[in-house]
Amino acid sequence: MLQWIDRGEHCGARLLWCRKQEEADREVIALEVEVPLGQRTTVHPIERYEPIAFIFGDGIVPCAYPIRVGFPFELPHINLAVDQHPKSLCLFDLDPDEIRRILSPALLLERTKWWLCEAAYGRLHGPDQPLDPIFGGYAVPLLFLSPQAQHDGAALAGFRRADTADAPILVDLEDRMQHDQAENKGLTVLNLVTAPVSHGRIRSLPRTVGQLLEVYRDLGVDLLALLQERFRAWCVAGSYEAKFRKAGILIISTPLLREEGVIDGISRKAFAFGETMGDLAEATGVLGREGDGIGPLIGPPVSSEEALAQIQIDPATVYDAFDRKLAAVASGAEPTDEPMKVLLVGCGALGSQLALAAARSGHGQWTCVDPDHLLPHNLARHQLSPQYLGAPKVEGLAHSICGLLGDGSAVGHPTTIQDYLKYPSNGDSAELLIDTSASVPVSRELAANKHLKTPIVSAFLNPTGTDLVVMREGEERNTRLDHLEMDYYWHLVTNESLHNHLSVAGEFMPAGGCRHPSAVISQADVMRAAGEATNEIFGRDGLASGMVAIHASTGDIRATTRLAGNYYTECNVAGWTIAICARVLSSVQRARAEAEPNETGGIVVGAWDRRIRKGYLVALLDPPPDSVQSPTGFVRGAVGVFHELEAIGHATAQNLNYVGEWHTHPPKVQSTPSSDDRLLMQWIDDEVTMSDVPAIMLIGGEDGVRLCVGTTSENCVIGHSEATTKPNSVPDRGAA
Amino acid sequence: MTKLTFFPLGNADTTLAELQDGRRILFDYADVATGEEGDKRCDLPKLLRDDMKQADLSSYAVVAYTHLDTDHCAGSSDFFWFEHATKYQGDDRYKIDTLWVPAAAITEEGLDDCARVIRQEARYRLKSGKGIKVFSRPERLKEWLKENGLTIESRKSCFVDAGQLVPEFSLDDDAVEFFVHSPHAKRTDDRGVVDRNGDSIMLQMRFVEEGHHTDLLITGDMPHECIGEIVDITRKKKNDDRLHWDVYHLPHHCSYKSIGPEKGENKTAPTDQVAWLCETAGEENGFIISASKPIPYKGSKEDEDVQPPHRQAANYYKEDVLADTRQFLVTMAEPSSTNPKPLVLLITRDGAVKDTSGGSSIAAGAAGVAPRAG
Repeated sequence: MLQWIDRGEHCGARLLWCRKQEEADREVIALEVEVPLGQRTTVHPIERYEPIAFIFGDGIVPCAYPIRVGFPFELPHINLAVDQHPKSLCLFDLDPDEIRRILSPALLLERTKWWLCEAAYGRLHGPDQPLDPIFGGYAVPLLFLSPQAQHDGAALAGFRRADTADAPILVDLEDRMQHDQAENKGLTVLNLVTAPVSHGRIRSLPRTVGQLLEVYRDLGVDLLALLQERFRAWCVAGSYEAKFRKAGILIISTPLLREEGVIDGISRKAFAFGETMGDLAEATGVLGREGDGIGPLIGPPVSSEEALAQIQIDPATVYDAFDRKLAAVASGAEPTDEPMKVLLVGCGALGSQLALAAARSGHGQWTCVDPDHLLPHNLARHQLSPQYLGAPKVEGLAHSICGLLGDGSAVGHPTTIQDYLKYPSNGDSAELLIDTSASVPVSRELAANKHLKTPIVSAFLNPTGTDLVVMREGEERNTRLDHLEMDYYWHLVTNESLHNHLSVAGEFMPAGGCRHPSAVISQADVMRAAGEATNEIFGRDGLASGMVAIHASTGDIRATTRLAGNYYTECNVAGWTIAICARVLSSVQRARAEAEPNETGGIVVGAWDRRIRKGYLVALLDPPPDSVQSPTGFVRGAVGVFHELEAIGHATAQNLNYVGEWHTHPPKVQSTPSSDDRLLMQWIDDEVTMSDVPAIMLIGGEDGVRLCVGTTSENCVIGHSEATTKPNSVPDRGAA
Repeated sequence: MTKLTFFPLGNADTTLAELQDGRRILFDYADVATGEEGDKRCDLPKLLRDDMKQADLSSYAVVAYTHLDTDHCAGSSDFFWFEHATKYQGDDRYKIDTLWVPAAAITEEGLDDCARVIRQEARYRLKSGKGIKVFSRPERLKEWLKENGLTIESRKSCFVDAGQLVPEFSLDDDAVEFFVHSPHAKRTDDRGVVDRNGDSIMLQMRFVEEGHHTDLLITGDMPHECIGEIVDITRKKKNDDRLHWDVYHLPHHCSYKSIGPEKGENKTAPTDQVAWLCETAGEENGFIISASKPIPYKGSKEDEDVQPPHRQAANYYKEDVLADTRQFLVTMAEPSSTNPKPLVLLITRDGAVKDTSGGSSIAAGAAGVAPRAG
């Protein structure tokens, strides 16, 4: 640094003096640093030229020490020092190793100038930055285990899990402490909350109770009186002997004022003392000793300054208990006192990891539904640890969530969702329903459930686990999971990069035999997907028409596609519910207009759910090139049909297939089926009869699009303001 | 952030302003260095070329000549692209989007070298009606316009008078505005004789950074009499704020004649108006820039020189105007007189601050974030 200053490369500092401390192996360079202050009035008395001593030495990070008499050392971000020792500037919020990695003379000097300038204008401590605590400094950690333990007046106990000097001290409510912890390793904990004080610089740590009382006296707080009052209360409450005989820990919580009257943070520090709590109480004048006995003294307490000055204290840095608010703050989420009521269906690998990821961000009041128990092979990917083997998954998951967010944050129901929703009120209260069952039947059942009001979100992996799919129903459930499922399949067909999305993965048999195979998927993939799903569900809004999001990997590239859902018109015809995609209806109308005066047509692609007797008409295929189109008729060709259907089947793992035919009638002609149409219907029926599904024909005419189902006379016209069902009694429209 | 660079050119002036949007404005151009051993003046064309290359610019938004003394325009004909003659054009020359000149630069006769070239360029542009701003009342050049077949009305947009803001710049759009002080009315009457120093451009450059204003006074070679006139007029019109400064670019290379009539033994006594300008209108924590040779020591040979810089003038500024003498910056003495370098001031939200990083790209404010999390 000297060489650099001497070279004149940097004109913001002038050498004042330098020396070497042989005994401490340190070198000190004092520079007059030119602080880049402008003409604005400063907030703090930092001068334009500040003498700063920089200390260098092996094994230490160089520090900057202001050496001007009158330097404002009460400013924030000044490092602690033992009393009477020089104080240095807190220049970096980094670990020493990180600092050493980047530090250079130029950076050290520029950072010092920056510190001084920002301190001068009162900007060093940002308005959104937490206030500095009253005491800083490295100390043994003290951990609050539950938020309730932090309240003033709570009866607390403490213990250590290990006997090492730096082992954290754990503090919780007395009645939550396990017996052996409280008795064998227990510490008496006293938590005092003082009146608020103004935010100021971090003070050096006191080493005795006497020094501690003095610090608070300077801040305007009579800590001695608080201690005396609390000890008195213990005595009055009775059963105090055990408390006073144990080693003590004093926790002092002080609200900090950022501006006059505005509390913005709490400084909490703990002090452990080697003596017992009774020794402290005796020093405050509340307790007296007679031989081996202890008891309260009568009359106003008279403290002993000498005794208080002799009680040594060791500082402990207090860590607040983890709770929902801390979870949200640490994750960058918005803290809330009214968490969303979430109903989680399916608590397997993805569901468990998603739930806990969301809980760690403070999200949700959880109801978990899953009938399964945790089995050994589940541990490859499940969030739960081996201690829950054999237990219902929901039990372990709820327990884990409560451990993070507090009692009552989650409940588990080890049952199927169908049984759970037999009671409509169970579904009514949910504000968000997440389906991670990875079960198409479950997803479709939920989709069909008319009692559920809140839009449902479904998240699942593709068979190889590399891709995540998240489907979110539209506003007021105007598009449902099964509709979105069809949109998803059609997107796989039309998007070449996703043609192998549903390729079959490897499987293994965890219990031998050929039953209940388990997919071969890495935990890394599940973990990634859980994170993506959590962000998708809790970090984004849905679309009014519903949405499908696909997070897919192509080689090394991870890309996300989001599709708006399509509306589906549902008709009940011939004992089947047929859902027709709006795209299909508009395609028929458009093709009719483009083909006039000829008829045109093609194949209808869709899906059937025989269990619930529901069909989905998802897309239309264009007329094959060998089709015959005329004003009086249409004959659908066959060229390329097989391969096209094969490709569709492959891309969708046979979820989409041939379901029927579509054609249009010429201008001014209604959609009423002709005799040719009825013959065609019979032909289709023959084709699909082995599939145990009805024939489907769509006819586009002047009156709209007619859906014909099976060879019965039932059909309906869609595409106008109302769908109507009427018997097929319309005469032939003319020769075909 | 706006950056101001004052070049070490001895008793000569060149100031470069880099605006927030990257445009460059040059006040005066004085390529006076000889390149001989011992000449510590900077190689101005090289520094400016390097700057323009780095900025990927081929033209200056504005080149303003406060007046046409050699120490304010030397070498211009070799550096700039001038529209009026092809021999001053070429790929290695930099264009001037708008040329600012005082009215005297149009009318003055008997010029030679670069001053003449600039005059010709100014006349050419004024005849063309574009790329020029003449600091004057238009009426001052009524005769000249008439002689050239032009009217005041047809060229009104090419003029800006004292007491006005240059219309092409605004704080909202450009983060800078220019308030014109000189030439003022008394100086723009047709007196028949050109007083270059008194007729030179003087203006207040006001910058805005995060809502805070910072003011720079550019004064050319203004003598105290003219400064006094300007102060009187400005105060009479209750425009005191327009003489406020955070940075005062001294007139006439720290000459005592810009402070008062008498040099003084050790300190020049100011006129009332200069005292008001320096001690009331200025910021005691501001910067005073003397574009000059180093201030001579008392009793030295340089101290006897009648030419500026004058020690007595410097003492006035240092002792009576500034709170800290170290805010008085001499271009040929920063960072040291043995190795002067261009002096850079940055306009920040706190005002004008000296850039002492030596051109270091270290972002000290950002050196506090660990690069990874996990």
